[in-house]
Amino acid sequence: MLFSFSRFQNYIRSHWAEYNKRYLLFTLAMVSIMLFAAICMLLLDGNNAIDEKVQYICYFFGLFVAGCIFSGTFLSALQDKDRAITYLMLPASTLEKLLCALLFTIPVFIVVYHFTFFSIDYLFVAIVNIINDSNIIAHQDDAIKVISILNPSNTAYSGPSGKVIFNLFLGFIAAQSFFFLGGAYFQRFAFVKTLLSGFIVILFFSMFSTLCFRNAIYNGGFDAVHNYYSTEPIYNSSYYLVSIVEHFFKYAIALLLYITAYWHIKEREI
Amino acid sequence: MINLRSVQFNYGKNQVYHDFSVHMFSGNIYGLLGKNGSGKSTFLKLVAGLIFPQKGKIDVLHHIPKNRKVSFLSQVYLIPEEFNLPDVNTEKLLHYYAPFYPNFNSDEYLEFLDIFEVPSGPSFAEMSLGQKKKAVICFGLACNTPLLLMDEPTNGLDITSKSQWKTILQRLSYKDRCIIISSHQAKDLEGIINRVAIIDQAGLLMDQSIVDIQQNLQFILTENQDIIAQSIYHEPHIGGGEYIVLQQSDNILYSKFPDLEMLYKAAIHCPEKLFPALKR
Repeated sequence: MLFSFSRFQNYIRSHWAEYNKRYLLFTLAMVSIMLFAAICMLLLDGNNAIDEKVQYICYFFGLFVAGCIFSGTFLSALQDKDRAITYLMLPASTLEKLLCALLFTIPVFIVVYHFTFFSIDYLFVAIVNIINDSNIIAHQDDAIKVISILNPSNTAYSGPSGKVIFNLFLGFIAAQSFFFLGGAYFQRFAFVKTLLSGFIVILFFSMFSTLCFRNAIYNGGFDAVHNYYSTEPIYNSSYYLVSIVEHFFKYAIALLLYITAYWHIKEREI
Repeated sequence: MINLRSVQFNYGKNQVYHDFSVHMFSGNIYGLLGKNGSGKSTFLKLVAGLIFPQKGKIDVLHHIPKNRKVSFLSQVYLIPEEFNLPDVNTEKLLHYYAPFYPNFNSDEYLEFLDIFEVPSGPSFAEMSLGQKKKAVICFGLACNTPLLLMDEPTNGLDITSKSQWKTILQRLSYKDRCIIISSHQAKDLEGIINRVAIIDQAGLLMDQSIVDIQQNLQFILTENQDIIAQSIYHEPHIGGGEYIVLQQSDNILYSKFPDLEMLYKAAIHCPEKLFPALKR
């Protein structure tokens, strides 16, 4: 059977028993780095250090970096021959192993990261506001607020809209899936190789999209719009083409990468 | 139980198996012998579905190991030479990992741990290699899987532990099980196995029951040159005389458990003399 709920439960329990210390250390490392970064910002930039804009940037920068490291090293067992044998021989289906990975790298990670980030954020925003209160120039209205990810309009700073935040989370999941696939695909130095592959993919995609742009003109991928003042048509990218590409990158790419990772785990030889 | 038909397997350009066929059955404990690099571990990995053959077919417990289906994995336990154990203690290992094996016997597991004198308190990270090896052997045996694969299980075990290991295996019921033990330490297999398989030169050189060997061969130490001249294989003994493998005479029905080291050497160096003697 491809999926059994009781076996999946057992698998998660055994996974937690094996990796809880590692996850705790990872969280402690995140806390330490965030604290260090916040202290540095406070010392370098004083009362403007943690305004809402900076908080948003820090939140998503940290989410992407920590998330990719976590996801890219999740399958580290596959890079070690002895651990890989244990991982592959444990009687759970590849789907259950993948679902367990998804559970830990996406919802569990986001919740832990969110809680960690905002615990430190609340503390440092409070410290900055105390410093500002003691400053004669500062006004009460200038108090910095803690950003809200779920309801961004709550903050004084007209930060990213809900749609932008949603798209950033989709981008985060796509990045996670890419690093996860790297962990499943590469047999040694998976994280570094995935990082390099990421740069190559971005470079290739930039070149490809330029070429695609040229070809699309001749292949009807763009709509010709006639200008009133000129007989020469102006080319606009086709709504459908843009929509397909946009939806692919937003929703389908992560799924495709996870499916590819599934097959790599299933076909993995030691 | 295990059927390999015309299997070909290479590591890059290095050919390990060419047209390799073997059939193994339940109710046996096989001792798998072979030189370094002859493909003993490769055989176990092929059977466990950890590597895939380039050609040929493998059928284990009516499954294709490559697919690594749960129904297959729950019937096979592999104790690799170098293994990994989670950083838990023996009790938690039982609690978290035993549910994956439907025939797991907790009482046996605790009994084996007791025989091996494995401490229950500390986690595996705090244990020595030998203690960890004993724990993984206890777990593997208690899984009661129809197929148990052990790769060099006695590596890292001290003299006392080796005799404890023998005690446990001799007590084990293997009526409906197939246990394959790959080892360089032929002496460690004596008194445990009931079949010997020797892998050499990319194929199976020999697969013989211990009873057949006992009925057909003698392993003796002698200084009598006439007997030495009739031997299948002989080598000088440090204490004097020659240690020989000799065709069993008709008036003796059974000799003691065969000397597996001498048997192995005879199979490698004098197969043309050994195999006719076994087929007698």
